[in-house]
Amino acid sequence: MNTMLKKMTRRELLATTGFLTLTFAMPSNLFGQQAPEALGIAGGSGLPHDLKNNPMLSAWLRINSDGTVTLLIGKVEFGQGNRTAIGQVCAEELDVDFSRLQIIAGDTKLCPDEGVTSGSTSMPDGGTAVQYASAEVRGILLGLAAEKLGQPAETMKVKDGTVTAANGKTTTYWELVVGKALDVNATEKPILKDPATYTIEGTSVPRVDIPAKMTGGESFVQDMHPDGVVYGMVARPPNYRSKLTSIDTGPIEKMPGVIKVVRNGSFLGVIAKTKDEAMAASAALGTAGKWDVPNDMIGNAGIYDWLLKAPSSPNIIHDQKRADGAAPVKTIEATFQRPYVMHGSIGTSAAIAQLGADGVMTIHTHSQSVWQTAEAIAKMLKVDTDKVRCIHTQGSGCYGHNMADDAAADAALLAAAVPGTTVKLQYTRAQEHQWEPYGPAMVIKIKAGVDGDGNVLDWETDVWSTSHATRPGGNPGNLLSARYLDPPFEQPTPKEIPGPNFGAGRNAIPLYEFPGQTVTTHFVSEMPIRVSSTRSLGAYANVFALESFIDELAHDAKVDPLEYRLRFLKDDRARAVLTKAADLFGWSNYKRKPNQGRGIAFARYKNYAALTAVAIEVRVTPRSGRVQVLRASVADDSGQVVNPNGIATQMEGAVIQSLSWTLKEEVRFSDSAILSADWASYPIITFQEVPSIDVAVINQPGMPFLGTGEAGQGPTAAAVTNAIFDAAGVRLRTLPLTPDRVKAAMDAKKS
Amino acid sequence: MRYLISALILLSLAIVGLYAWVDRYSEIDAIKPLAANAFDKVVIDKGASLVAIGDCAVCHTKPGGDSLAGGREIRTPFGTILSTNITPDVDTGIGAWSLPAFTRALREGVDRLGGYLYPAFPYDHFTKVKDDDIAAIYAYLMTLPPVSAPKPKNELPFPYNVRVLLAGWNFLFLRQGAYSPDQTRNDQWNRGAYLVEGIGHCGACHTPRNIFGAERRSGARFAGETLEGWHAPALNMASPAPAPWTADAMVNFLLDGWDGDHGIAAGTMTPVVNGLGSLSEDDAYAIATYILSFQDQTNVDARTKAAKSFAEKVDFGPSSPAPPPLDAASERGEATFARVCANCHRAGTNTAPLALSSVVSGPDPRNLIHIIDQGIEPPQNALDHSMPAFGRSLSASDLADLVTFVRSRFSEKPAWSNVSVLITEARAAEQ
Amino acid sequence: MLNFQLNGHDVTADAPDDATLLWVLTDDLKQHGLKFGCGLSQCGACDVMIDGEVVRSCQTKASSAGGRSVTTLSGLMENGKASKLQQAFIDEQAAQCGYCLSGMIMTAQALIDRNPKPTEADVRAALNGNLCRCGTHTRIIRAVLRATE
Repeated sequence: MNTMLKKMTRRELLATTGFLTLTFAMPSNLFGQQAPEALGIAGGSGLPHDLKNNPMLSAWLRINSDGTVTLLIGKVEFGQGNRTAIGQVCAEELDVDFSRLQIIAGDTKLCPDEGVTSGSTSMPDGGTAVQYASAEVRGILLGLAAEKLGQPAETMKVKDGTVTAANGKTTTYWELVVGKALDVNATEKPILKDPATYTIEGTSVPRVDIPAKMTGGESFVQDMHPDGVVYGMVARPPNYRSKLTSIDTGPIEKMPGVIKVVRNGSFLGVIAKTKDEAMAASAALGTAGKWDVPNDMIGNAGIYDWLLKAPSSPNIIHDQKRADGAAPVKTIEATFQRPYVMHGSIGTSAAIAQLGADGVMTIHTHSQSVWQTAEAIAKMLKVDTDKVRCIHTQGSGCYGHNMADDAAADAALLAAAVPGTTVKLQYTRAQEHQWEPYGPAMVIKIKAGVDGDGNVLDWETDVWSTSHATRPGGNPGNLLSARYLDPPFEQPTPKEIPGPNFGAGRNAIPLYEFPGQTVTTHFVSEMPIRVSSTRSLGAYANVFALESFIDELAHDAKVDPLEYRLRFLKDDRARAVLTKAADLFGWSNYKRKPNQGRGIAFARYKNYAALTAVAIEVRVTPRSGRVQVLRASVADDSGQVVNPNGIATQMEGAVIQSLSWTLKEEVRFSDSAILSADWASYPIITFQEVPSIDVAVINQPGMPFLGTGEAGQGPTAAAVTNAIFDAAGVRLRTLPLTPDRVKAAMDAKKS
Repeated sequence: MRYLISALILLSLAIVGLYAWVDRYSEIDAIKPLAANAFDKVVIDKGASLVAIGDCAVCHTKPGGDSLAGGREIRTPFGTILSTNITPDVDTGIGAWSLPAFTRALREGVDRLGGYLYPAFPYDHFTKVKDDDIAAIYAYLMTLPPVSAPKPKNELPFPYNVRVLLAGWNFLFLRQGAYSPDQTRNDQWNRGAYLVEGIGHCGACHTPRNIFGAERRSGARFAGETLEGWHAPALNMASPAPAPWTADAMVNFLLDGWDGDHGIAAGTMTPVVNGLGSLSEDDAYAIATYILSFQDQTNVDARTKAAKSFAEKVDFGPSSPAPPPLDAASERGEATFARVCANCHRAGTNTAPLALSSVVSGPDPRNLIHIIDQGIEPPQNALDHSMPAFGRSLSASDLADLVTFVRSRFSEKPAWSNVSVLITEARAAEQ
Repeated sequence: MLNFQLNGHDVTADAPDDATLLWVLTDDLKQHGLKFGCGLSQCGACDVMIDGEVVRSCQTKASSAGGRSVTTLSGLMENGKASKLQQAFIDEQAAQCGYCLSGMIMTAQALIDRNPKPTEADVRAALNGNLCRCGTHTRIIRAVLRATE
């Protein structure tokens, strides 16, 4: 048993906390996303979603006799800073110093099941649940204090866990909690603090995970080196639909350090004593087999035609008929295309697994969905769900469903072959690049009928896309390697996520108040290329399309694009965000220089979450078509602000990553292989391409947390596209906006 | 030794009968500190641009030091010279210099006190700069924040430390006076010539020098030279570029530091390209026009096609059959290349083909050695191109094998003969 | 057997000469301040110093470290505390996931060692070969400049 695994056992936790009551996992929202009404919690109806699923207060909070507080959460950290922010919410409502918190997140055995950490829901779901749980625990503690001190609870004051009664008598949380006082279910009526009194929420508490990352501490699953660990690698097929026909593993078994070669159907893996030996053996394994290799991929150039022609089910997600019948004087339409893009984690996915003597497979994983991934792995291994324990350990940033779950499954497949031995697996760069589930290619067609003043009368959006959601979800068919086992687990046919704002249709509905609106998604269930949830799902492409098209309409109407937007945007918060970004940018007194231009765009993520506007200035070099982004000004309203610096960091990251997608990225593939195999064949943004970024964080005291992480992706894409139009007079509608494309458009305009 | 002889010749020239002429420079009076508003903003901005194009900061700034405050070591065959402080500090910089004093320095290579400057300061080029441009440079420099930075003493042995011998150098090699246009050429060419021969002083690196340390003339013009360990490639008929330079490609290279058919600016060219960032595109085309007039401009399309087809043939990638390695060293080098270099230097990536690079096809392996050892920190406008350093990852013999392989695989030119010696030299110099 | 200095201490690693330095440092010598990112010298997550110069340890053979001095991220610490540069990164909260940061800090340290007063352009150029996917670039630049103020 290695130290790391040991450190995390239940017994040790028991030893420090004195008591433990486990909650039983309740079925959670499959996609970790809340319907809009669920966000209205602070208005005061019902329990927050995650607390309703895990109502036992002791499942969330332990008050320890040593003066610490253990906070257990199901939302996991992957660099977005949610651990710190959720901790702030807890410390604030509980009235303890932030430094007293010990936070345990994403252990399927210890933590409340909060489903998937996705969809920018850490704060709306996780933060709100912790807010309510903490407030309620505070109330219980005050009740205990009242009993102990013989004073009324209402007159108690709390400072950092020390409770003072009106008569000056004091006690502390650490003295009060004995026994099972917190083994009670949350009620719907905790007393929440007045946001005006916040001292921890709304401040930029430094992230708890940062110091170790800066000084060489152990931070990531990739950093773990348990005693006695051995190294596993897989060898992937030549392409998605290849089948292994024969292989002689004998020579590989004799390679230095090789402990075991695992073959199951078309799945190939190897375990060796050192990483070098495992890599050498897996490379040999990769070329040793004879494969049936179908060359039936479409090729990236043909993907948009394919999407439009593939069988799809049209689904009208929004239909608003215009009352009057005046005919538009003009109809304007455009088609926008977005290629496959990668999550592109800097660290390749990894996991550490060990099959214990108790038959439990314990896996350290950076999965976003530890519970459902554990369930899928259990089914793949054909064992009961409680025989797989996933412990979330940080990995490299993932930005959605990358290969974290596949790594957990592969580590488990290999560890199952060597019971009792700890197996560490980390993919090669090519394995990550070529096999991860990409953000899907999309085609978006928009048509608008306008009146003589350029006002939109009718608006139509049609969106074509394959699935945005193939997370494990408890189904082994969604684990990559499980599809190659004998017998294989079939990948379930993806279904469109119902509702207007989830997968392909996310943000396809304009928030502008146009009288007639029809929005249709065309969901293509076939997946020629592996795809899944990638930061903001369909919102990135839809906002790119909608907010580009709004600019086209403004240009056609000869109205300033900011003014044009404000003409149709009635919501006060939306207007405030847009105006703030424009002010920060200096929109009204902008002085144009040759070949430079500006663009602005706005979206409310999912149409009900964070409101974000981005203004961008670019310089376009006509000689080369190259776009240099000079600066970006961002305004964001994520509701009640917990950690302003955290929101600013997320927005900066969103702008930079979205610029990378928008200007540079496209997964390339031929009829037989993914050609984007590394950073040289799939370049991403570098330091010299990154603009300066100003972020204005708008606080809405007492309003629901809206989440932040994905809100900037779409507006950034449209803002830069609009800025290119302003600078060079060319409208680009196919991503990425490479120098070749910009130059071709400029040359075409000239001639 | 030949340099010593040249110096002695200069010294005797200076002594024999030229004393009066040699000694004719007198001190120009110090001026009072100038008012903050002494210069027009437009003129200052123009000066800033000229200072950038002239790369003044490259030599007049020591690593980690204040910009233009001097102190950088300039290694010449005659010894090490330290650059001067050209911020407007009265005691240690040029704060007491009047415009006539400043103009005399640029035109005649003489400082305010009347002392001779060393031609490491390229006044043989700056003499060609027009009066109004000199005035703009002066305006810019005099409005910088003054930095007090006394100049350390030069490390020059006798007789080079006898400054009057520079009078002889000037007599032989300095042609004073602003550039006068060649009436047989068009305006663009003349603008290019003015920039290249004047403020840009391209020949200071790209033209071979004679035993007096002066640029050679006529056929040797822009024939390439090695200095500070880097080889500045030939810009004339001897240009080593496999695909001939075009005006577009040269403008890309000058302004962006990158062209897809030539690769990236590196080494001592990097700060030059960064300085050229403020150059207008028109001026960049003018420079290209002038430089290209020294190059072979025949059959450009055919030669480009041939170079690209060679590059495609030898490209390192899964689909291209490798030509057999020539010898054991190349074979070892190929293994290193396949392990380390081919991850980026292969078909289908964002690198320029090695077979189109002057670094690989040039006469001197030093640039390739430096680039592999030190990597490439890109010019600012090259945006997303860079290369890590492999100096500590490769032994000298690994590196020699690799360099040998790269030359044999990616160039049609004959093998370099002195690779190992130059690696030893380069690595010793880097310590 | 391979002998070298690691963060100022003599160490011996039981690894063949052609072992990859990255794995020797992480798996044998339990160093955490370097990461496998690509194994191709493309991203810089594995950057460490040998005799003060940055190398990509993922493509450096362990023998290259023989008899030399290797510095990893934890080796930059001074008396058990974050160095000035590391503290500047902490103060700027210059991380999202933080996976690339070991390499960023090592590369930035090498820049500062040869140019104690870099400009923003110097920092961008020096770090251009180190990839960050979260988009923390602007904070990383600020952190390096803060450390050299």
